[in-house]
Amino acid sequence: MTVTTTDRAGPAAEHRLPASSGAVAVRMQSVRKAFGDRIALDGADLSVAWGEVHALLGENGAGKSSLMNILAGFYGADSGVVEVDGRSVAFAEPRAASAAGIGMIHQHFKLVGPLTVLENLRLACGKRAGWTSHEAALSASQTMARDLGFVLPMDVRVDQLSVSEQQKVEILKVLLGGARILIMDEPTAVLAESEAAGMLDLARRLADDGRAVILITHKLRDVSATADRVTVMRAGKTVIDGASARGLSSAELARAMVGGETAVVRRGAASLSAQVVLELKGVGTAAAEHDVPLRDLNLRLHKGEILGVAGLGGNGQSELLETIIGLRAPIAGDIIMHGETAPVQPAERREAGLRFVPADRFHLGLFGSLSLAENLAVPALSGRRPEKRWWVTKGWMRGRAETSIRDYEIAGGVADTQARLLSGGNAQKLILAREFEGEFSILIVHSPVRGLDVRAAAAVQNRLLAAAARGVGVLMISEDLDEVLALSSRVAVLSHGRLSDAMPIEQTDRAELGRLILEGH
Amino acid sequence: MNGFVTGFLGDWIGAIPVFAAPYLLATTGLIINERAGVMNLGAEGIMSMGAVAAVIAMLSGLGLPMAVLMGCLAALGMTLLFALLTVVLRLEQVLSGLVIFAFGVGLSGVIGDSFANQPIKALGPIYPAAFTGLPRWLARFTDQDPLTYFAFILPFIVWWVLEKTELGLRLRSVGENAPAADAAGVNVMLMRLGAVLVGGIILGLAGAHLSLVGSQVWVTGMVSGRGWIAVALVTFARWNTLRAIGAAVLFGAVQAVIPLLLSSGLHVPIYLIQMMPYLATIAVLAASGMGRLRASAQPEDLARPFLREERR
Amino acid sequence: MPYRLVLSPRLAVPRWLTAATLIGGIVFGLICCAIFLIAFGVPASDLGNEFILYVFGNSAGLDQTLTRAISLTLVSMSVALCLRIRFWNIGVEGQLWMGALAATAVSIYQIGPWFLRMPLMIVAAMVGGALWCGLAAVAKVRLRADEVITTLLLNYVAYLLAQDLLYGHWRNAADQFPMTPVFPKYEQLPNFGTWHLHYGLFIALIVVVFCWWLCRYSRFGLLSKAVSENRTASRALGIPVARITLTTACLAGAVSGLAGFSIISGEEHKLTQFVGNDFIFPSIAIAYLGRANPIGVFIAALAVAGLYTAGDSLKAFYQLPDTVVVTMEAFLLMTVAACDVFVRYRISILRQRPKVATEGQKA
Repeated sequence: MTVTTTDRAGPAAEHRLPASSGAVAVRMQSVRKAFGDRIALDGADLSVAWGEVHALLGENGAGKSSLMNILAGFYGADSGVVEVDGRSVAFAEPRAASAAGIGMIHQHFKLVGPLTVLENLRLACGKRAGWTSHEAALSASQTMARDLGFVLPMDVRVDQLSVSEQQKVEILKVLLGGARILIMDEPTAVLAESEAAGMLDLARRLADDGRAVILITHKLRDVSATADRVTVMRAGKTVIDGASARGLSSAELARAMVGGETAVVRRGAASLSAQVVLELKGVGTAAAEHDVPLRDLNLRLHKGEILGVAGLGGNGQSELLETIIGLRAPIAGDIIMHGETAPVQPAERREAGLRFVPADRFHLGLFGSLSLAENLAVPALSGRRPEKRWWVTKGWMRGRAETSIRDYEIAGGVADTQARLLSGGNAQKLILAREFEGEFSILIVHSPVRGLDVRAAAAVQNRLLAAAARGVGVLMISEDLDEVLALSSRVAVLSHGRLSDAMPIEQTDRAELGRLILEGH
Repeated sequence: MNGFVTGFLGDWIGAIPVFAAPYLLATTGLIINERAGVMNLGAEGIMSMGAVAAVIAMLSGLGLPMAVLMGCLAALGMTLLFALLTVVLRLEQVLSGLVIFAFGVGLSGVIGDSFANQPIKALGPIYPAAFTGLPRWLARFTDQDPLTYFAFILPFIVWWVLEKTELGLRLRSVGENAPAADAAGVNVMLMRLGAVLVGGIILGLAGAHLSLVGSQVWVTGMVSGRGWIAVALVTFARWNTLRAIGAAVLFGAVQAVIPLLLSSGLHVPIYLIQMMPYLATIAVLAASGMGRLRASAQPEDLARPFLREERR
Repeated sequence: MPYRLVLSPRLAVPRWLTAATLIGGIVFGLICCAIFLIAFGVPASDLGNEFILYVFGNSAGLDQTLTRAISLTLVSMSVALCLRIRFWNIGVEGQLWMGALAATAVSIYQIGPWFLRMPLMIVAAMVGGALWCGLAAVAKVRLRADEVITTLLLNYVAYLLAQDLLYGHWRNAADQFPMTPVFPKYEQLPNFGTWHLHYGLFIALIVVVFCWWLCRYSRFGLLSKAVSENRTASRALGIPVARITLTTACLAGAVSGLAGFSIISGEEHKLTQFVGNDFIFPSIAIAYLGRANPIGVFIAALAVAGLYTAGDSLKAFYQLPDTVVVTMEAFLLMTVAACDVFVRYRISILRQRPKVATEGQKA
C-alpha cells in the first residue's frame, strides 16, 4: 500500500460568491522581515478585498504567520508596503492594529488563563467597546455570543474551557473589539472535523457580512471548501498572488506550496508478531490541575508493529507518554515491559530498551543551550553503565556526534552548534539520532512530524517504519489522523483519558475513527 | 502569677501592630510587584534606603511628614534603578534583586554613617485621648500612629484595585500572561514599570516605619532580614493582600515577643530566641510549598522577562 | 517620543563581544566607583595610589590581598558551583559559620589524637557547611521552598547559633571575652614566613583545580549542565536530577565550610564573633564576574580581594564606613550585568513609525 502524506482533499464544497466583492481591504507588497540572521520574509505580497475569505496557504515556516503578525502589529517589517483601506500603515503595537480594525485569532490563543471569559473580553476590548460597567460588558458579550451561536459561560476561568471554547472566546474578543479585517491562524488545526466545518462556515458568514477574512492554513481542503481567493507562500515569498480558489486544482496548489515533488512514505507489510513488548493493564493516573487523568487504560504493543493512537490534542496524549516513560507514576494498574513489571525509574526503563520522541522537542527532548555533541552524549553518560566517568573530553563527544550528524543528515549543524539554533526538522532528527543509538525494543513517539515540512516529515516517518521493520514496537501518538492512517498497522483512539481497543487499519476508516475521536467510546 | 500573665499578654498584644506594620507594608508592596510579574528581591535594600532617608530628614529638622516623604523618595530612587535593570534591560530578576539588595544596604550604610545611633523624635499615636476608657492592652493595641493605621488600611485598597478595577485587571493580566496581555493591547512594560515603582514606594514606607516608629534611631543594617522575610510572606499569603494581614500579624507577634522575653527577667537564651522569626519563615515557606494551593495562586509569568519579538 | 529602543535576542554570540562587554562593564563600574569615592571626599589624585600601588605594589598590601583572596575564592566557588545548576546559594555566610563551628567543636572537645586533629577539623568543617547548604537543597527538592530565601535566612540562624555558643558554653573562661581560647599550634595552618598569608592558599588552589576538573572534564559536570538547562528532559532521560542537585549543594556547602576552617585556623587562630561577616554579596559578585567558571572565579576573587585592601586603607585614611566596599561591588556587578544586555540582545534605536489613524468604524 502506498500513501502520500499530502493532499487528502475531501469533496470540494460549492462556492458562494461574496455578498459585496469590493475595494481592496489590505495590500502588502515586497515585505521583508529577518529575525537575526534568519530571513523569514523576503518579497511577500498579499492583497485582500472586503467581503471575501482569502486563504493564505503555505507549509510550516513559509512565512504565513510572520506576514500576518506584521499586519496585526506584533512585528515590524524591515521594509515593504503595508496598506489598509488604501492608506499606508506601520503599526508600532498590536493596539494600533486593532484600533485600525484588524483582529488576529492566533493559533496559540492569547488568553490569560487564570482570568474569566468576561475578564478576558473586558481586558481586550473594554476600552474600545466603551463599556463602563460589569453589566454593560456582560450584556454586550452575551448578545454577540448569541448572534454567533456560541454557548459560553462568561464567569468561568478560561483555562478550564476546552480548546474549541477558547477559540470561540478569541473570536468574540476580536469581534467585540470592532475588527473588520479578521486573521484566523490555522483555526481548524485544533478542532475535530465537525467542529472545523462549523468554524469554516463562520468564516464564510463573517465575510458575507462585508468583513475581510484571511484564513491561514496548510490544509488544501480548507481552501477548496471555503475560500474565494488564495495566496500561496513558499520560503518567505509569495508564489501565487490572489488567484481564484476555484481556478486551481489541489495538485497545482500542492506543487506551489512544496515546490517540488511530494515525498513518499511506504508502509511495510502488516503481519502481527506474537511477541508483546509493552503492555498496559488498567493504568490510571491521578487527576491534577491542567492534566487529563488516564482511566483504566489497556494496551498491548507487539514487536515490529506501529500502533497508532489517534485523538485530539489534550485528551491525555502527553500524560500517556509521560506515564510510559516513567515521569508520571500511575495510581492504578500495571506497566509490563517484555513480560516483566516495568522498573520505576525512567533511567531503568531506558536501560530496559525504552526510547521516546516527545511532541514538544525543547521541553521534554533537547537541551537548548547545550551543543549537538553534548546533547548526544548525555544518555551515554547517565544510567548505571556510563561510557565514560572521570575524563569526558570535547573531542570524544565531537567524534561521536559527527557520525550521527552525517547519518541523520542534520543540516546546518556542526558538533559545537547549540541545539536551540536548529530548525524544527533538524531538532527532530537530532532527537532521533540520540534515541536510536544502541539497542532498543520499544519506541514511543508523540506527533513526530509536527511543524516539519514535507521532506523532513517523510525522512522522520521513514525512520519510524525502518525501526518497526527491524522489530521495534512503535507506539505512535498523533493528533493528525492522516499520519495515523498512513503509518500504523493498528490504531486505537484516545479520548478523555480513555483508550479504545486497537483495530487493524484495514478494518476501519476515517469516518469510524472520526466518530470515535469525537464521541468517545 | 495571674497578674504577670495578663500583664505579659497585654504588653505583647499591644506591641503587635507596630511590629506587624512594616511586614504588612512590605508584603503589600511586593504583592503589587509580583502580581505584575516582577519578583523584587531587592526589598531589603530598598527598605534600608527608606529607613535611613527618613532618619536623615528628621535629624536635619525637616519634620515628620517630610521624613516619611524622603523615605519614599529614596526608595523610589532605588526602585527606578531596579526597574531599569529588570523591566527595561530585562536582566535576570534574581540577579537584579540581589544587586539592589547589596547596593541599598551598602549605600544606606555609607550615607547614614554620620547619622547613626542618634535618637529621633518618634512618630507617635495620634488620638491618645480617644481610647482612654478602654482596658490598657486594648488601648495600646488600637491607639497607633498614622503610618501603622495606613499599613492596615492599605491592603484593603490594594485588594480592591487589583480585584475590582480595570487597572487591576490589566495589572493581573500582565503578571499571568504577558504575551496575551500585550495582544489585548496592554502596554506590558508601562504596567510593570508602574507596579514596580508603586511597590517600591510602599517598601520605602515600610523602611520609614521601621526607623520612625519602631526603633526611632538609625543603626547600620537595622532592617536585618525583614525585607527577605517579606518576600517569603508573599508566598505564605498566596499573593493576596488580605491574607497578608494575617501573615504579617503572625510574624509581628513573633517579633514582638522577643523584646518582652528579653526584658522579662526570665532566664532565656537570647540568641536562640532571636532565631524565631527566621526559623518561622523557613517553616512557613516549606509548608506553603507543599500544598497544591501555591501552584494556582502564583502568577504564571512571575520573574519572566517579556519581549515581543522573542521567537525563532 | 520620536525614537524607540528595540531589543531583539541574539542567537549566536561572537566571542569577542563577550570579552568586550565584560571589560567594558568592569571599566564602566570602576569609573562609577571613582565618582562615588570622589563624591565622598577622597581626592582624585589618591585613587590611583590606593588602588594600584598599595594593593599590589607593596608587600603588606599584597599579603592582605592574598590572604583575603583565600576565603573569597572558597565562598565564591561555592556560589559558582550552585549557579551552574541554577541554585542560588545566598547562604555562604551561614555555611562558613557552620564550618567554623564544626571545626572549633573538634578543637574544643579535643576529638582525636593531636596529629589527626587538623584533618579532622577540615572534615568537620566540610560536613558542617555541607549540612547547612544541603538543608536548603532538600527543602527545595522535597518542599519546593525557594532556596534564595531559605539559604539567606539560614545565615541569620547560623550567626545567632555562633553568638549563643560564644556568649555561652564556648566563652574563654580566662578573660570572659566572647571568643574561644587560642588553638594549639598543631591546629593552626602554618604561615608563609613572617606574612599573614597561610597554607590555606593551598586549600584554595586544590579546590580551584578540583572544581575546574569537575566542571570541564567530569561526567558529573556535563550532567549538571543538562539538569540546569532542562529539568524535565533530564528526568525523562534518566538523569538523577534530585541527586545531582543535592550533591552539588552539599559540595558547595562543604567548600564554604572550608572557608570557615581557613579563617579560624589560618587567620584568627580561634573562633571570634567576626569570622563570617560580609561574604554574601561579594561571593555572588565574584561568581558572576567569573562567569561561574572556576578559573574565572579565582581571578575575580583576587581582584575583589584587592578592592577590600584598598577599602581598608580608604576607611583608615578618610573615615569612610565599612559598607563602602560592598557598595563598590554593587556598582561593579550592576554595570557588568547591565552590559550583558549587549551580549544577549541586538539593540537598535528606531525612529518611531508614524501613528496610524485610530478611528476604525465598525463593520
